[in-house]
Amino acid sequence: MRGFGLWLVAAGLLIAAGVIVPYGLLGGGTPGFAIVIFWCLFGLAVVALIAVGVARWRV
Amino acid sequence: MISPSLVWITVALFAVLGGGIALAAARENSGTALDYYLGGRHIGGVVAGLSYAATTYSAFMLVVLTGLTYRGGIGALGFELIYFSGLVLLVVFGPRFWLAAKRWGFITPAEMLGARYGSRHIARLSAVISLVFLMPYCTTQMAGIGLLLSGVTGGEITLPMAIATGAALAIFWTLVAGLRSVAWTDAVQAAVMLVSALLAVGFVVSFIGGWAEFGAQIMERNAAWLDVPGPGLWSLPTFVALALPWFFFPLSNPQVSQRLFVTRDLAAMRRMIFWVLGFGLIFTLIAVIWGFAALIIAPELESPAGATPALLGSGAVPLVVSLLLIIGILSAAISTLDSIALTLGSMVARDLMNQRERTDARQILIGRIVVIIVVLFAAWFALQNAPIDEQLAALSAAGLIVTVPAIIGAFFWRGGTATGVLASLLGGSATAIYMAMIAGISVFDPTLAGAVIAVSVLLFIGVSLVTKPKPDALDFKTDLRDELTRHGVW
Repeated sequence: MRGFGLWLVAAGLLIAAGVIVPYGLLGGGTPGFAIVIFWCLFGLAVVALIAVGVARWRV
Repeated sequence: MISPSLVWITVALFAVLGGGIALAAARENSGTALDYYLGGRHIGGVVAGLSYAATTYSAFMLVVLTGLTYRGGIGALGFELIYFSGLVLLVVFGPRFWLAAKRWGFITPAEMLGARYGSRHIARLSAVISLVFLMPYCTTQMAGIGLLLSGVTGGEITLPMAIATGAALAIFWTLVAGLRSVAWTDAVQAAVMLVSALLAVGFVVSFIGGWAEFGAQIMERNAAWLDVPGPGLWSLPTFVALALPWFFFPLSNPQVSQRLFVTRDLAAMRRMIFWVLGFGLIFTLIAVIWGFAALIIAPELESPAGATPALLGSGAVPLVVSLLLIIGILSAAISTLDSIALTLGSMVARDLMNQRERTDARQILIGRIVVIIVVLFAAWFALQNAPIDEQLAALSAAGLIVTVPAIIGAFFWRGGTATGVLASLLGGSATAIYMAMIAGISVFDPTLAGAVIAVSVLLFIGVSLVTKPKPDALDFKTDLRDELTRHGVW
């Protein structure tokens, strides 16, 4: 279950970052493509996180 | 503007193709309720994945999300990606749903909840809640079809004609072979959605002058749209208000959670998840790019919902690709609509009318009648409230979230009781209806989703703590443990 705990924490942090980083760190400054790029990387990170979670299934 | 004759010819070709696929699917059906509603639990990963994707990614994407981008900028991408991140729930709940359904023979998610907590009232109430809160979502699909076809033809295809066409296709493809015809047509429709949208975005970007010019024009004319909160729409409270309930969509919406029952094995479920991920990420980016492109090409629209028809009528997209994209959006709406109608049909037949012990033919007949009623009601409602708005689409997500505490508790908390679930479902849905329909609180206000979640969670935990589980309640946590371990599932 240790692996699950780590994965769960990673998922929580990633999803929280999906809101906090654009709104807390990147937003409100000079407009540019930083938020677009961040959210694209966020989407890829979600795919990677799910891939890690299902890779261990014994099918 | 596109000639209505050309649109009708294209729709007719699409209808013939879909009809052929649906009839081919019917030849595989054995006539049982299990086969009609779940494809006999023998659906492969690719078809299941594309069907899941077509069901979850609806006309909302290229009508509402594009409009939200047009109106408020890049916050739309973040909102949709938080929704996308909700797919992490499938890692934990996908195998649990599948194993529980296989072991106890569940066909609907409501049936699973009822059996887990030992109460048929829970199954009935879940079915009613799904009926109530999915209707606005069905209406959105219908309105999307109507606005698209009438918009691209300058009103020559009228709203009633467009909606009637969508309704006829959704009803026919569902009635023919149930889940199998829905899944097969969904898979083809998902491919049409993705290919047509990719082509259309490619042509639009090329029309603007390439990616570099596209970026430069956005920076020059609409730089504020690249920021949050942007030009005003995407304040943090609005973002949270929309994203929070949508995150739980894979659990709260029965038309997608029922897809977790259909795969032939866990390998197929894993493939299904990867197909949804790939499709979802690409389609999300397309919808947002499409919205930004509309800002450049058609900057003075009165209604953001008109962004897609405006782009298709702008000359930026070749006629053939425009026609293909019209079919893609029609596909997105119909694939969501028929999946919802079929799921509601199964829930009414098995949970609300309690026909589980009756013959398969009777269960299928009731489901078919419900499919027709649901689609016709959505069509009628769309005609009465033609202007599509985000409030209607988002109300479904805010209302259906009341089922989530009970679903999570079903697998992870033995202390959850039937009384706790009933209190949670009743209290949560009453809160959603009161706040949205009577108090007039917007879905853009986080108070709505926050209050609904708080009420349903607190009632579930609080009432469960002071009541006892039913003697015939199932214990998923214990009974599934060995199989979860054997399959290496967390």
